[in-house]
Amino acid sequence: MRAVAPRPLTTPHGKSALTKIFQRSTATVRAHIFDSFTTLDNFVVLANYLNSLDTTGGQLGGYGAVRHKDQCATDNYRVKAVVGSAANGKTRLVTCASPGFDRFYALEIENSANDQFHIVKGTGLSWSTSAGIFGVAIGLINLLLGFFSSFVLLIPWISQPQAVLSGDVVEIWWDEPNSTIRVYRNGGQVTSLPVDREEIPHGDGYRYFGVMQGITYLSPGVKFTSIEAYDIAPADSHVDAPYVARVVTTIKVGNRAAVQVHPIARVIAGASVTVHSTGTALPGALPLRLG
Amino acid sequence: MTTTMPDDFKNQLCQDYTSAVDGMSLHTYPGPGTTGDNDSGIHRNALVWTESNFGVSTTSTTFVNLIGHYSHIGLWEGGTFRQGIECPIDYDAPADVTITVVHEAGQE
Repeated sequence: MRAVAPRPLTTPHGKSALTKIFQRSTATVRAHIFDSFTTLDNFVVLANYLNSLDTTGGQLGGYGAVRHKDQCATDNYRVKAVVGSAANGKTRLVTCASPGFDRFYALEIENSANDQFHIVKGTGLSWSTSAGIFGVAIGLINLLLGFFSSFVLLIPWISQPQAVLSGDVVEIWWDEPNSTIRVYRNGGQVTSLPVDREEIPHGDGYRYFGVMQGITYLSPGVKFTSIEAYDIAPADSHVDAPYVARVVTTIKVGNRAAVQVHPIARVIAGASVTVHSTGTALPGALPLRLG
Repeated sequence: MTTTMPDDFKNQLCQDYTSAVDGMSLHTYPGPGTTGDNDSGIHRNALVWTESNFGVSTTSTTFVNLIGHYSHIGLWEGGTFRQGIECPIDYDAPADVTITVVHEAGQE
């Protein structure tokens, strides 16, 4: 009789597939920030020429620049202001701004014999806030004395004749999905400007908004009685597990298919998706192109 | 891998979860852990979920005039803590903050 060595243990292996059942939760945030200019407590004053900024009568006046302390939760947000008085001059409603307003987009409202809406960009500034044109010590006077020429790209990129009246609502929106700046008066788009998505920084830290008031010295311009900013789409998800965006579909009767987009999915115009239907109207898989 | 889970079963799994979550709290850093710690003390908002569709259900709630710094939301069933989700929220001035939670069940 001889001993037989035991068979070596080996890892069982087969052809079965490993399936995963998952449960995922995600949270997204939208913010709505509003201020009625009763004080400047909720703002950071970036420039205040001769300490002239004030909120007399519940509207922002003087010569300077203020940004709200807080940002929206997403890049896709709109900034809206209500016009109080409307004297001659220029006022900017600022969005997509860095903390020191050295990068931004703005609606410039020119109130003059040639009333205009301008879209302006602050894209070419290279100095720091502390020593720069918007440093509080130097303030707007640099701007007024012509240092604006140092703003490489701070010129109106597109203009459209447009007057404003007291009570009008003006608005600027960097339409993030289409990378287009859009400006509005009383809900109607006045003009728009496609922009390079990367020409100024975006993301957390670059979602500030505010006002540059009295750009033309001794011409106070339009004064705002309130300002607000609000996200129009959920923020990027904060996920407790890796998340895969998807498209949820709802099939209607006949040949019409309604695509219900998942709340945090991003839809790109022209993208193709395949709709899987379990209904009887459109059984099987149906390729669609999103408009 | 081909998904073989029928949608009605995804919906059942999803609803098992959403039926056990009916409130939302805000938590300061380092968050709620597994017991609901660091509750901000702000009144919990009630949650109403949409009917599960393809295993997906959503709920939204708004905290009005919110100020402060929070790192997580907490999800509750009555007084029982169910789950925390990292969700940085930072406001120095009052803001209306809407939080949407999406829950999805399925197979991959």
